[in-house]
Amino acid sequence: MQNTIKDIKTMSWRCMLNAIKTPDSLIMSLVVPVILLLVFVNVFGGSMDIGGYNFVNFIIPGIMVNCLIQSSSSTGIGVNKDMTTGIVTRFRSMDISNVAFLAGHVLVAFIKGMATVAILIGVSFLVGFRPLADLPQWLFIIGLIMLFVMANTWLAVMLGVMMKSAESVGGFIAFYAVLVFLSPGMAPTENMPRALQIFAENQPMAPFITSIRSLVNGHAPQGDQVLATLLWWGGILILTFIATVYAYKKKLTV
Amino acid sequence: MSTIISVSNLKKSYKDNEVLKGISFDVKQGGIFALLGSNGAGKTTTINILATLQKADGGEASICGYDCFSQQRDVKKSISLTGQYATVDGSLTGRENLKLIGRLKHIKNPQEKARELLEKFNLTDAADKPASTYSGGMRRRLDIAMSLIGDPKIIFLDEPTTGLDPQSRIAMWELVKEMSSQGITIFLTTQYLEEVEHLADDIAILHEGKIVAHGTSDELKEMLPQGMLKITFPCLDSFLKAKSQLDRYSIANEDEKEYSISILTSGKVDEITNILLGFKSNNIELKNFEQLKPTLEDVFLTIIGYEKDGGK
Ligand SMILES: Nc1ncnc2c1ncn2[C@@H]1O[C@H](COP(=O)(O)OP(=O)(O)OP(=O)(O)O)[C@@H](O)[C@H]1O
Ligand SMILES: [Mg+2]
Repeated sequence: MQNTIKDIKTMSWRCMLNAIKTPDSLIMSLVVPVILLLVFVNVFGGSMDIGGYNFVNFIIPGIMVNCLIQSSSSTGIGVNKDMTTGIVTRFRSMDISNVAFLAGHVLVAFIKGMATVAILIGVSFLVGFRPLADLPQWLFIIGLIMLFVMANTWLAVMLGVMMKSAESVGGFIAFYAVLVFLSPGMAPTENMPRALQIFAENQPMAPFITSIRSLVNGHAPQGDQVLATLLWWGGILILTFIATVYAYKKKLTV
Repeated sequence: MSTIISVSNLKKSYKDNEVLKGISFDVKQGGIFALLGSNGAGKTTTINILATLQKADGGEASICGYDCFSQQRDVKKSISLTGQYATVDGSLTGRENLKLIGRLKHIKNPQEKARELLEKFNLTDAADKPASTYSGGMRRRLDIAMSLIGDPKIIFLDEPTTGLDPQSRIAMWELVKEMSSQGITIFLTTQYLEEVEHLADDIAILHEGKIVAHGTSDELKEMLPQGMLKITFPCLDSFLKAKSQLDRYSIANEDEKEYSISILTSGKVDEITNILLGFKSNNIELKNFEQLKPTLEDVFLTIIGYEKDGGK
């Protein structure tokens, strides 16, 4: 047990070194969302009818979702590269618990995700973000973001373990990040065609975005939206966790 | 010397592909053991099974008295594996790679150990550069340095010299010999006959899923052809005549367009003279002949021929 904790520390140290050495992945996961933010604020900011919100307050949850998914991409690719090349062969020949390798990746990805959100929120203040949440509402916001980051981290790790190549992991996550445009995140759903509207309002990103948006603007979130967020993302977290551990064990015993 | 690795009737298939058809061999403690085989012979598969990375379909294997299937943790503590494809983390520096393994092996002072190994393996100058920028030879050295951490009893080296230039290859041989002189048992795989001759105390040849020969270098040499003769003829007629005259030799290669034929010989002058005189007395014209070094393929050929003849 003591050794397992030591090994998790060591593996996290390794993933952290990798993350610091390749800051481009952190930067890239911020560049696209920040550009989106600027474009939306400057191009659509005045013209879109968003029901009386401050525009940045309206758009920030959607941008955040896009940003977090982009940032999980480097995690998925990193895990996949580890699985398919080099060093894991050595790890497997050593007396290290299987958990340590996955735990190292997950811990660092989680920290990276939270740091990315913090930077994004910092930037958004510069373009007019004026949150109206009080302290309990902020804690609530942080809790929901932590759940969302954790679920997406395991999703990325799962793809990294299961998929054949780093390219397919990257491709899949890029596609998944685009789904935020088919959600209430970037524009009000009322103007969408009927079929799209149904999808947009019921996909898992929707209740998360709606809940964060209410909290950021100082409203109490609707109970059903919060419940849907917890069920969707808690469910995704549990399922991807189980699937990852299962697929990882299976990959290791050829 | 006592036995440190013992393998008996080991079997492994991938779907319909029977890679190991029941191989058995023992490795003695302290020496250099080489598993020789061509591409796809099953060398990596064998190493992976012994290093507990893969499961076998049948048979038994033990290392230091521990069973490779049921006592995996004890086996892992006794060995180090340097895989065929660099088992280093390319984005970390050489020093960080060594520290990583030191920490995972729970040794007392990973930092100090890393410094010591960098020096010993002549990597101090590149210590703080990412391993992905290393040359093939440097990466191999780092890889082996990582394997030395934690005082393993056995080190597995999967094709340690494949892809190295001749100079790095000779340096690698020296390194392997030095590790062996410190009492570590070395288990290496290779495709090069020359390498086992220089390096190994004990050699097993893996071919088509079986160990076709096992012994010391001297013991094997007695079975191997010492030379190969490539003879080229001016026309098809002499080529065919010569071929029937050479039917008691193993033919390693023949080319009907070039009218050339390569046979395995003992390499002795007498034998070659006899062959040439034979052509002369039958009025077979020659265009050219040259003495070649036998390749691994030629060795297989003789050994397989040897098996078929029931050991002539
Ligand atoms: N995971 C796998 N799934 C299916 N077939 C495999 C797998 N690994 C190896 N093989 C097959 O098993 C055979 C032996 O492979 P192995 O890698 O052990 O050979 P090798 O002697 O190490 O060859 P090389 O010199 O090319 O490294 C090959 O035919 C290979 O295609
Ligand atoms: Mg191999």
